Amino acid sequence: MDTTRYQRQIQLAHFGIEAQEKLSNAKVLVIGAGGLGCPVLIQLAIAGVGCIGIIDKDVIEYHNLHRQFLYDESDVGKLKTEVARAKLKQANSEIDIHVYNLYLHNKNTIDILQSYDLIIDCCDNFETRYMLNDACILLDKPFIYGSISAYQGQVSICNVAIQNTRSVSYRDFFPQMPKADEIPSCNELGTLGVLCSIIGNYQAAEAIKYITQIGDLLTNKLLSYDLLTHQQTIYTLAKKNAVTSIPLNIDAFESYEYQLVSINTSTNIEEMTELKKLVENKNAIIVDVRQFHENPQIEAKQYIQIPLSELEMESERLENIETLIFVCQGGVRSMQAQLWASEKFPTKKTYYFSKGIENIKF
Amino acid sequence: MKIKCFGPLSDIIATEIDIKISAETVASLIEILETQYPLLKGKTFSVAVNHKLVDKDFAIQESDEIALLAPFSGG
Repeated sequence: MDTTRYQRQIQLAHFGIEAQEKLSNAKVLVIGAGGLGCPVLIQLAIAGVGCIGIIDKDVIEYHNLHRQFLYDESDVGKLKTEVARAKLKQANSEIDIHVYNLYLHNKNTIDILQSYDLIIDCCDNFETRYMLNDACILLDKPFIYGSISAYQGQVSICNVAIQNTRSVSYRDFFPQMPKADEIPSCNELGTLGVLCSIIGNYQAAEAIKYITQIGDLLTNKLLSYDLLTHQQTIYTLAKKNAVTSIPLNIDAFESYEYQLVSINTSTNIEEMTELKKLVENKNAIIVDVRQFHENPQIEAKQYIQIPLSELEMESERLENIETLIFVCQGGVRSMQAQLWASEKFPTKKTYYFSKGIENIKF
Repeated sequence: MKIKCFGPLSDIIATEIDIKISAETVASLIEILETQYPLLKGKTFSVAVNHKLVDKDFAIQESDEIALLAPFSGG
């Protein structure tokens, strides 16, 4: 190991050559090479983590470039794992990088995770997150969780060995998987590269602290960060004992159903032709439940805008209308609005347009 | 009572509200909030009281700071 490269971190109080050797001997697996994965991967690579695994099956798309800074314009269309490996090798040729160009599922997860000491969750979906969490519990591996929603982020380190026990798992914070489409993704809400970098760097910091055994970890804690105010709060949680939905052994894990439960499909409109047909009825209206500042604006005759949070207050405006078609940016809020309307006005016909506002063209 | 809402819950309620609610437990608070904000029904979230994540039967007081924390999916 060339210590010159790492001199400025080695000279830190409580760090030293011992901590650098721990980093050099560490094997870390990063799931997802996207918005969070990019900052996590580059920080671990340049800090000198000796072995890094990267799992992702996606190819680089043009709309990734504003936040996924390991990739540039010439990389569009290439595999994230391969480009990430090349960029990390350029940054630090002394480390080993293993790439897994695949989607994780409950038949391949255990085999892959077994070779690593620390698992970092940079994925973008709940199925993978709950599956990783459960696998880490079965294999006694620590698991660093990070995720974002619009301008906010969350970070924690789960399942860390403390004396003869393990710290809380992700299921202790959120015991049950949300229903399908209940929680909007980045595709629905949008995201800023700086937030991905902040949260990804918090995850990388937890990884470095865990490996080198410095500082206080976010064990039994959930860090919540808001970019708009820079407000940061740490919520603490005592270990719960009542989590019953975790598979108890590897056989049970491999047959566990990690799919999200779908809420509603019969009221979902997917095609513009269906939407046009519905608004031929003079007593039908399109209700846009986005906030007023959100773009693009749409132009349609039978159209009103009432943000989701104001629907209850403004419900009188919908009382005399027979058919309500809810729309929003990506389909999640409109689905919530449709669920609300079906309870509020059981005699009305209510629908939502699941493909989002950009697919509405009259 | 000050209630902070995170992630998609701020679309349903607001980022932060300060309202008079007489609830003795987290469960009764959620019930009242679901009446005032029907879109909250069936949503997945955890509740923190004074920065501690607690169970539904946790006793609360008017002076407590409540946080409703939704899980995030973006990565």
